[in-house]
Amino acid sequence: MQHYGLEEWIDLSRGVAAEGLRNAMQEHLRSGCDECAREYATWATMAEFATAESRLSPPADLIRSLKAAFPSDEPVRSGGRIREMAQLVFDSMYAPQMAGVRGTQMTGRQLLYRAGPIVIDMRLESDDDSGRYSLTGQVIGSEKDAQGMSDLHVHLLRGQSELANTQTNSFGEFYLEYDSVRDLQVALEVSPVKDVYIPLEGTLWRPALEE
Amino acid sequence: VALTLSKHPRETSVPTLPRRSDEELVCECLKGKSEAWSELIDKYKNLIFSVPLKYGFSREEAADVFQDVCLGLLSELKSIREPRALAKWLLMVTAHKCVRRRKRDQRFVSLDAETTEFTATESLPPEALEIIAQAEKEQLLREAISSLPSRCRQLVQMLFFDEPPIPYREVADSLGIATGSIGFIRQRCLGRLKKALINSRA
Repeated sequence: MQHYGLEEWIDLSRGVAAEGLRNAMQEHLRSGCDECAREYATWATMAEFATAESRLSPPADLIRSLKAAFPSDEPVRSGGRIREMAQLVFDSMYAPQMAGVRGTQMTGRQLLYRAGPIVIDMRLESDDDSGRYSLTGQVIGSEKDAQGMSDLHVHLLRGQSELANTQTNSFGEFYLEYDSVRDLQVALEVSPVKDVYIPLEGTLWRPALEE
Repeated sequence: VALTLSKHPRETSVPTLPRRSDEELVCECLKGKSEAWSELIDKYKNLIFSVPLKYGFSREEAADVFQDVCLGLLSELKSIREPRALAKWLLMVTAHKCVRRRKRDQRFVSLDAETTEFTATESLPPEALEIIAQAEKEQLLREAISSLPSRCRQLVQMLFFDEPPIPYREVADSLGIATGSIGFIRQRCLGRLKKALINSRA
């Protein structure tokens, strides 16, 4: 019985064995050669893995944005200010349906973040008419007293570039608009030395886009 | 042996994972080193993303789960007691998020869901456990390929990842390897790769 070499099994697994050789190898496998069947199965596993690997990579912009979510050891903006990443504590997209409710139309997406005692409530929405995306938020000093933090500077950033900025009103509320949702971050100047960052990766806006 | 670069377009690259251990990476992250965080993401991105995809979610849904898991990891870094078991932890957390999301999609959410211990296996359905086992094996293979010497990775890239596929003889010619020779590359690279593949199928 003629056996085949590793190189030939690799070619067969990648579908590049010449037709005559391919037929002969398949016939050989059908004849019940266990050793060659194992060899072929091994390389077929590798070929399948390599093919599947291209699908298993997450979107590059999402990877970039998650890498940027790390509180950097080097301040992004000048002045050596402390950066703190806010942590997501509530996402309306994951809120359970109420008992007996068959379905609801989601309007925007509500996200609640926390950075130490500070709570940031945000709503992401899109406006079909203007084609712009809006971000409405409220910054609360602590959960207990529920007091809005007024006159805070709020920056909308992409990387190190500032796209828009505003200030919170007397209730700690702010509103920002922009025409693209790619790789955005919100930075809140919560004290003279500290900023709180919130990464707003593109997929967070999906329910807003689907309205 | 003179190496030449592949003439074929590469749609997927052979896995190249960081060489530092999870313990080192977690420790560096806790010191505020952003490179270590980037390395952790690179190391586990395909592992995490593969779980929701295998669970039947779309790429967009998988991206949501992936983001959730990564941000969860970022916030939990300080409390990870066993960095050596990080891959397992990530798989369990991802699987639990998928199960919960599936339940939500089916308009049925257990009131206990919020209190689910994300690292417990008992509450996962058999389907999720199978997915975890498969993803674990794939990660072992990724790590095995990544640990090959660079010349070997180039060979593996050309043999298995380049598109369109190229016959072994052409790859060998372009790398200057005699077909059928039991040389360094064939012995060291494909032998090591084969061992990893057999382990991944065990």
